[in-house]
Amino acid sequence: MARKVVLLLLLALLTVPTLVGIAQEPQGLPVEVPGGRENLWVFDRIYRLPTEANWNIWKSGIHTAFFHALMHETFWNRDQETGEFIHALAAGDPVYNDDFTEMSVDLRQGVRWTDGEEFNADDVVYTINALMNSYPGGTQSGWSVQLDENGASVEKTGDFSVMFSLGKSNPRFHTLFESRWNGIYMMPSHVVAEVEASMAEGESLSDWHWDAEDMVVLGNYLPIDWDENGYWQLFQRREDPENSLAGIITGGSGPPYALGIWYGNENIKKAIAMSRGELDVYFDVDIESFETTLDTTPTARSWFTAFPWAYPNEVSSRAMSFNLEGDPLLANKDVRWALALAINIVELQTEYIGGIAKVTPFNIPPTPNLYRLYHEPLEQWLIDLQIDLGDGEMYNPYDPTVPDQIAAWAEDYGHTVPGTPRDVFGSGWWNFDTDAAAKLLEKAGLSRNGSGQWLTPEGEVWSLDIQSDPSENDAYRMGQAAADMWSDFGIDVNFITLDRSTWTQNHRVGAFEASTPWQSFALASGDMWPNVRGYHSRYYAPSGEDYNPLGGNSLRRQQETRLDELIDAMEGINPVSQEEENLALAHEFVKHWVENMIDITTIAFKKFVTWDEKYWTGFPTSENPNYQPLYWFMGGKFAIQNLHPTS
Amino acid sequence: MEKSLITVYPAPYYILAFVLLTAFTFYLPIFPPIGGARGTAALTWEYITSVLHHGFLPALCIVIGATAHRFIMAKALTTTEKSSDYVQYAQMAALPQRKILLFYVTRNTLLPQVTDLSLSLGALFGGALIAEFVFGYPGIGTTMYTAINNGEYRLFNRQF
Repeated sequence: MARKVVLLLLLALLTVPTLVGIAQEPQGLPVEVPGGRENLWVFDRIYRLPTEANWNIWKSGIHTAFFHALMHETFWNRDQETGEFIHALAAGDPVYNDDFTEMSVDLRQGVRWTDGEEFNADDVVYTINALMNSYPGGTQSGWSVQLDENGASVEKTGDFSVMFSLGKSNPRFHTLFESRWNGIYMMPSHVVAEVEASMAEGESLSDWHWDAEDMVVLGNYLPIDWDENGYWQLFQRREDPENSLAGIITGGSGPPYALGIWYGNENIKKAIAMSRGELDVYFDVDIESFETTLDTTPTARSWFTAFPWAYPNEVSSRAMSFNLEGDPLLANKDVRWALALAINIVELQTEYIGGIAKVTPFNIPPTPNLYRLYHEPLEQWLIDLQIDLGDGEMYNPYDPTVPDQIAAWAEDYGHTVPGTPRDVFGSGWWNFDTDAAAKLLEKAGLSRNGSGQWLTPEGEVWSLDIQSDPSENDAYRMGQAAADMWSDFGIDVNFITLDRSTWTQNHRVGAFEASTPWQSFALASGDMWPNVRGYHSRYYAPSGEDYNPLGGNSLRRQQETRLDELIDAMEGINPVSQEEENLALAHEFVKHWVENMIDITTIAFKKFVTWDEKYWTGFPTSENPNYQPLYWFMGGKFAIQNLHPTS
Repeated sequence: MEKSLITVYPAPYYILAFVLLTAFTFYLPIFPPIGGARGTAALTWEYITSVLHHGFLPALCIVIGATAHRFIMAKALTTTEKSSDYVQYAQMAALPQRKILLFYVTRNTLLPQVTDLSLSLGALFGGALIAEFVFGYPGIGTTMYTAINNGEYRLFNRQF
């Protein structure tokens, strides 16, 4: 009897899944498209978006991730490795007058909206005026504030040329239209003007809800279906891909359909999905999941075919940042320095990150160009830098041998290091010296109890909250490493995992003590002002208030006169004709930031952006770096458009 | 069979969830690793089977553990019932063993079993946080997890 029951159960267990499974080919994809998998490119959508159905991307607070490359355009893209301009909707470089109060732009001809209308100067004029006047609730990326600050206006000087007039001299005005992540997205004036005209009194474009079926874009794809829970989104290629910008530049048409899927925060699911042929590219995973992919998907690869595999030159870096208005102890630079010296960077980079990323002691990634402009000239200053441990004891915190230590670890691990340690592993970093860190905390008034825990000057156990978002696994692991090391050092650390949307919102209103954001002070070209202008005190927002509508970046809630002076000085300099003066000011900015340890920057970005060539080929690689592989950036559109079927 | 069930019974269901995930999405990839259904919600055969398909593994991992528990409970209840006076009386009356087991003992052991099963069915629909997390299933457990992560206390409280 019992045997029969067991057999029946086993039979049911095997039959039901098999029958249901057969009825559901292919198994894991949420939608089917005509032509099947050979017509569908599946990408990792990085994180779950809560606002799937509103495509009014110009509105403040609308997420842009991964779909702006598929749909939107601006004047220029910046090559992330060389720093060179890629002309997008602009036909050439920006042309300024002598005092940088006017900028003329010639527009590319022949780029068409998906409804067949040609992009022209009317679209530019309408977009700028709409951003400045029709979004009282604020715009994407603080564009309206920046246009206002520049006293900008625009006029049409021909069907395919415009001229911007500025209320003040600004040799970098064009950076508003230059995309690394994004730049001012152009609007279809013939569509949005009608929408605006039909709105009720008191309504504005801030209230506009753009439905997918009404969309008209310049990019190659339009959204046709999505999951209300935010797990996936399906895009269809436009009927005339040759008239999209990426079609004109690459000559390719791209896959007929593109499907973005969020596989959750467990990286291994991306590896599983790729092994099943249900994911063509993922943006990043942890080292363990990447190794699983190599083992289970023979057609998959990342930027390099061997160690260190990952794409190393995304222009950004990971940092432990602090709300300087949160825990009062964190407003003390000695405490921040103590936290830096309590981190073992070699262990962080190897045991937590897998030895892949480049180390950097400040918020500039050591890409070949930026290493030459920043890390190399500042090396001696870093070696000579001294901090006061208290009682007049001066201390040199910088350790230039860090890349050599990581290289030794890699060789012990059986890897071949393809280049010098500094080429592969970046620059030096701070000593791991808990004795020096302890002296700094004691200098700040902290003490230790009998269990080795650090006590605040008031005699309470010092507790530190770190918030992190797991969708960026390097930042998350950096946070975990810091939490582990600071706990070992005697700090009561509480590591908090948050979804991206909440984590971002907490940043904006200062609802955190320590967090794991990313940034680069410098553009790929080396110019600093566009990336640090937002740190000026004029954009300061106190904790509890959202800094985003102010048009700057008050993440840390810092107000520093010295930084303001340097930002103001940089603003008045032409980054091209006065390159040396510009760079000297930028170096001073870095020095001030480091001396005060405003952030604890650890590593540059590495991305295991990994491609499976089972269905699609033509992805950029280190051997064929035709386009940047970062498909979620606006400039990622070129790599997508350049794909062609493997078969 | 009893040994197998005693082995399965104490194992936390999320361990089973990982075993099922690995077995049926990787080694024998017949189930999806994430999601609750295919396509847009509609009253079609395709959509309904896709809901079953996506929900099968999360439900299975909960059911297997609970089933083991119920088998063991059933055995304990049966043993108790078999020593009851009415069973002894039935044996003395020379009723067939099969009849005693099916029509007397089983019926009496079913009462607490059915009650327990009915009460536990609600758990399947009320949200199984870990199972839904492991399988990326967008159910109430996932909503609860998101609410916890995002500090949405009102949403969290509403789920009880």
